[in-house]
Amino acid sequence: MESSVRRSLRLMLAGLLLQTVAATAGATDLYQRGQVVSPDRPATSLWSCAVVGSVTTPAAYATNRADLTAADLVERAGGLTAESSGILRIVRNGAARIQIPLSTARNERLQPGDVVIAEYNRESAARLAQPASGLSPVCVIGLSNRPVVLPLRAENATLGSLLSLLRQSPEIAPSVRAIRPLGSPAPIADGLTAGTVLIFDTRLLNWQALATVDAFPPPIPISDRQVPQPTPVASAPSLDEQRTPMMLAPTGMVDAMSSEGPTRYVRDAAETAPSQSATAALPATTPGQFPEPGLVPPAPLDNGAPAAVSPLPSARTPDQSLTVPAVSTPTVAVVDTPAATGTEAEPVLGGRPAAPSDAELAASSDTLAELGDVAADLPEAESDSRGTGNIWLLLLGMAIAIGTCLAGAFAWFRWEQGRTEPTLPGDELAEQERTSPEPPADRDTLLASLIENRIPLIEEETVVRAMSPVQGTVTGRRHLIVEEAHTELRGPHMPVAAVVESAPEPAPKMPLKVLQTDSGLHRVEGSDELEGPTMRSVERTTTPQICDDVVLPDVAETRRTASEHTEDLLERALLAMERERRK
Amino acid sequence: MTIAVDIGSDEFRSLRLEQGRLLGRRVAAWYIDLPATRAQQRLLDEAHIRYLTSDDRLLVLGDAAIDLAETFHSPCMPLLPNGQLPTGDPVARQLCAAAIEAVLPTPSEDAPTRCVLAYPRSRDSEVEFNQRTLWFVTRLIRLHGLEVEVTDVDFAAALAEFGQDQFTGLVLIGDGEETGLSLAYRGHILARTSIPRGMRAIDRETAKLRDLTVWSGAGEKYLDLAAAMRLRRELCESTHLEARPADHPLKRVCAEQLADVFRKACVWSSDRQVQQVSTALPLICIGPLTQIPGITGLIRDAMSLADFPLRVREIRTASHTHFSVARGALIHGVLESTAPTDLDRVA
Repeated sequence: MESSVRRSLRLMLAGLLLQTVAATAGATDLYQRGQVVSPDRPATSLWSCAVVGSVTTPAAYATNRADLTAADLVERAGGLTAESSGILRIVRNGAARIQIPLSTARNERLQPGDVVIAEYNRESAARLAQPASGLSPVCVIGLSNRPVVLPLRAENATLGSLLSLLRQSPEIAPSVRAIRPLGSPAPIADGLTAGTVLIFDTRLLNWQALATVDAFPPPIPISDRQVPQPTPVASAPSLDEQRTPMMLAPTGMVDAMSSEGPTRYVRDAAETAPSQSATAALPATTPGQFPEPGLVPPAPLDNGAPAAVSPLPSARTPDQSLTVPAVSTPTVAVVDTPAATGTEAEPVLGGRPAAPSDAELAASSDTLAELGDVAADLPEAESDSRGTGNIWLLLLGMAIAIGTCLAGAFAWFRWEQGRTEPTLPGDELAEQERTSPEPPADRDTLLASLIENRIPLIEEETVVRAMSPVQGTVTGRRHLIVEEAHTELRGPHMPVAAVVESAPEPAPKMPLKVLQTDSGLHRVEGSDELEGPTMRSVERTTTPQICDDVVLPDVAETRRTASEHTEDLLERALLAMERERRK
Repeated sequence: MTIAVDIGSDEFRSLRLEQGRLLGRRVAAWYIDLPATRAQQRLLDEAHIRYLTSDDRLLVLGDAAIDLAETFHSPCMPLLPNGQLPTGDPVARQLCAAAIEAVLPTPSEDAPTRCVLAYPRSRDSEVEFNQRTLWFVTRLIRLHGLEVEVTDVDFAAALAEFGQDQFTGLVLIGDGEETGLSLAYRGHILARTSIPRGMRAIDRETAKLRDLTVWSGAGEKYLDLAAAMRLRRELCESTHLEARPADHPLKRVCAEQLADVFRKACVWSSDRQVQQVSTALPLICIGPLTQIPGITGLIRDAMSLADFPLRVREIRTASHTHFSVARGALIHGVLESTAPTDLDRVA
């Protein structure tokens, strides 16, 4: 009875725990770098992507279309230029994952943060590697929560210059990864060519210093109602000619980033906007009137281009503010500023290294000037739904807290149970625990440790195990032989009879005894001569008749002179060792 | 559990994870034979040197063989001459089996059940099937109850050394009998080439130049490769090759060999896949080559001499000279044994 109650209680706790874990998992999806985003990307939310390389208008684009494809984006960017090879590469999650020709790009739907590189043909890629005087649009990932396209001047088109413009330490240069257009021969240190995608490690960025940098170029909005305007491929303008209204801000960015300080941008924008003669040639759907919060908007253009573009909500009035629950976002201070003098909000102010959000794209520049948190950038049109969402977030936070408590209680319950009943025979849960494999998280950790070579290596002693006698004859020496034995030189080199005649009568074999004299020399019993300190075996007979070095052919196989010689030496060595040991 | 086995021309190595510890074993693939006399046996016993017995010989295997070769004036013989299991040499085959058995752990409940064998793909290309070393080694490991999976040496080296470089770079492996260069790109080997000359060829040259020979009792003259190896190590410890003149024997032989490899790899420039690799690559040097001080300078010279088409960002040597390939094979084994996660499926 008691066990059944306990089991039902356990199952209930497990159910609650699973529910909490599921809710927590959902919550982690909802939060991305401090910003509340919609998990399924509703049709009303703006998201950004970028295109660089051999397109007419390389830039970042903001859209609310969920079905935007790579081909749409390229068409929106004015189409491919004559320098293009027709190949598109899509950089997703920090890696160039997809490489497709333009013809099949209609099926490739883009995701938020994607960067499309329109590849150059080989000749153009080689030409781009040479120093040029034009602008080099380079896409940077990691400075914001959207890709940023920076048109760098030739003198600034190096990684070191870019880092100094962004007021970052040059020490982070090795951590910056570059995805370059195919065929670019120069390494990253030599210069940044047009179409390069730089990926910064957000952990290493100095966000406070980045906050002092002026605005990044805003993305160009793409609306649902826009009709793509194909651009003839044959008319490929140069990079200087590609300065579009979209690039008004980039122009200012270039000027502002040339060490003049934050206020310089305002002046540059005011100066450059009226003089944009090239803007008239641009598609009407590329205005610069959608600055990011805090960005100085350029002067309105004469052609009235922005009318066809904006699906964005209306601007917020100065007295509007957001009610943000304390659970989801920190307190936000909304600063009302004059409409025309907004400042940069993309690098987050207030010293908190949080990344700005896509919602900035929709925020009006005349009401919100400086924001300490991205949540304050939420457009008014979404504020009601956000308020409802905040309630849900509050509930979610409460659910997480309750779930944590329940998990603790469950863990305590399990621990208590394991302490009192170590093993329950027949318990299915315990059986499952016994048979469950190693958790994947542990294996991933192990794999990462192996790859990063963090596990110290312990070298064991290798022992060759004893085995039955090795069969066969050793023939391995044949691989090392340099010179065969000179069989024709084998002795004896004089007639055997003469040797026998001239040889004295062999002495009778008698064992030798080694005696030590007072002088330290050895005297061999049976010999009158004193010898040096040599040791001979007691059983050793006298010197054989034939020298050891001469091997007779008939006895070569039966007698191994060398081994005997070695054996003799070894025996003497052993005796010497014994004598030393006795000493 | 997985064990990685690396069958090198000069050394057999194994690496395994046991209770969170990385355990490695290695045995030199060399042996000597000594006359089976009582004195020899006693001497080896007193020195605690393990040996195997034959009909009339004592066989010493491993590092002890290299050390004792000088003492006993006996030629030190490789288990895998020319990188191959010798045919018609039953003793070498049995010793090879003993060496492989020595690097495998004792069978137990916790013993590995799976073996990832790192083996150079080029080694068996010229040999008949039934004589292949890989075939022999694979069967031998299977006899120990292990399931065998074979991986390429260069692939394993890329896994081990290019973790921070997205598994992209050049692998230069200087084995005993061959020197190979491979291009790994995001975990795939795009191109590979090799020449059938390795450190043993350098040792042979050294032995011939310096007349490092040993005579047998029967009047035969053998190359003393053990002495050449010792000399190479002494040279490596005493001198930095970059500071030596160009006609220094070791420097000259190494430079020629490396230049030949890079020259042979120049044909990669016509490969479409290789053409698309535009980034500057890291180059990792693995094997006994890494023990030569100043090898990075030699590699740089050889690349410029051969007009190697790929750009190299940095040249470095392997972190663990002996076990780099085995560690890569172990990574391969752990990867294979890990079920694909959601992240993998997306990627």
